[in-house]
Amino acid sequence: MSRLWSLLGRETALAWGRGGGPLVAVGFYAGVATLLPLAIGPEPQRLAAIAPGAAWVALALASLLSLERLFERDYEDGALDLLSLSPLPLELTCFIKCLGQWLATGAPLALAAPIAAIALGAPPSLAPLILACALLGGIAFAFTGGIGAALSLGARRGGLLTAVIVLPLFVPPVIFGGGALDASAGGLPWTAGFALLGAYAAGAVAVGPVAMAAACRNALS
Amino acid sequence: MTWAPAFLSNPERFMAFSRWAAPMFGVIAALLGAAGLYFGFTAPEDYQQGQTVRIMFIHVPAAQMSMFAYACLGVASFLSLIFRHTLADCAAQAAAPLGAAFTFLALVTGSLWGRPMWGTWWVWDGRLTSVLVLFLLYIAYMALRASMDDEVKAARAGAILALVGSINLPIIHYSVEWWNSLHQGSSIFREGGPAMPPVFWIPLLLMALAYMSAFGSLWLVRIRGEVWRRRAEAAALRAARR
Amino acid sequence: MSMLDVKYAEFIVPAFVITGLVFAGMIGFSLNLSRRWKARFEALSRAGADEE
Repeated sequence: MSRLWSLLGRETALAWGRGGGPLVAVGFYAGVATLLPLAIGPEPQRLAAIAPGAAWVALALASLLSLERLFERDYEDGALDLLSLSPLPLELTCFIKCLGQWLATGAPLALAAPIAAIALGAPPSLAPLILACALLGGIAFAFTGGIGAALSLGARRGGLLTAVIVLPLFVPPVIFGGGALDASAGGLPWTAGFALLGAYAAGAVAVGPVAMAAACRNALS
Repeated sequence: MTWAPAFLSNPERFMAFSRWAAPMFGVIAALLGAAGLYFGFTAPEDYQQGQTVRIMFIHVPAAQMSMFAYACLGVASFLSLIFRHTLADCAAQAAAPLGAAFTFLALVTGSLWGRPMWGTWWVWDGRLTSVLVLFLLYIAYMALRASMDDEVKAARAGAILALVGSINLPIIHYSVEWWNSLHQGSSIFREGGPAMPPVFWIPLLLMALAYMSAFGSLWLVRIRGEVWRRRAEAAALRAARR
Repeated sequence: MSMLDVKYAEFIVPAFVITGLVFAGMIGFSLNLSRRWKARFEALSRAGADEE
């Protein structure tokens, strides 16, 4: 048990510390959220209509960006070899890596999401739901994105490749979360979208580590 | 499925089989396609769709093949992961570009059919969006394989991605259907429409079978190509060692 | 050509032309892949046999 905690501590610290961690992710997120009104035009009505959706898509992109180094770092310096030899199953290690990634970048991004959405013109009453969706969606993004990051280990142009692999897999969580936010903004019941987002996150947590571990073993073989 | 490992473990048997099967499927595809096109063009105009109903005969089979090819890719990837047979991997690698081509055809012909019928090139309808995401999945698979130098690693990574994609495809399909039900407005495909008269479904069936045979033939040709490529690379390695 | 002056021919003709081109491409590339690597393998194995 203590091994699990120390691994989680290591992963969170690595995701937090090296490579900028939450600062880069939140900075990218803020940058995208700034560019959107510049491209679309500053009319409040037009911006308010797209604010929750724009904040949501920017969040998906920001979590994608920070995923790139999730496995590559450990792959390059040999730590992944050691992790695969440890008594912990590699699936569990991958699970903890993604969890640490979510703690270090997903949670700060989720805190930034309502701010960005309100700055774009979403009603402040939407903030709790945006935070909840961003926290839950962050899990789905981290565990789906981890598959792409693990698969592109050892490939040329790993970062771009990760995006190409992962973006189609991001379709369901983007739709479910966006649907929940859209419904709530329109005064409709939002629970269906939120529940589906939760179901997708749960599925990603269940399937993702198996695929990641298989991909890591392949890269190390 | 017990026959599959035995068959796949023996490339010689496959090469002997595909040597005559590939041209045979090609000839069948040409004959069925010619018949389908003949009946398709002699069919009367549809009372709703007019002449554009002819696009259906090349669009619907392409859409079917785009899914079928992904199913083939998924099964071949599964077999290559479980049994580690090179031939299964050749089959997976060979299926992807064909599937992408059929998906591209489904998107383009669907767009050309949609413009006169709905007045727009593209609608964010559930079915159309699923096919677009399917196209992206093919691209992702091919990009992953192309960017890895190590053949064995590329094969296994590609197989994992193909399996993850096949788990995701039904979810993606469901999610876009759900999304479409939120944004009502483009209800183009009405369920339970009038049954299609034989003048339309006979050419459609012929064309669907023609596309299926054409895919079978081209798939076999490409698998043969992959087998030759690997043999040539092994021979080049032997020559370099000498 | 009756086909070129029907209503909506500007959509029907491109659909068939593009389908034809994609099929031609698929057939051409697939046969080329198979032929090229077969020839390459045969050339290499002939060279290998000559050396021995």
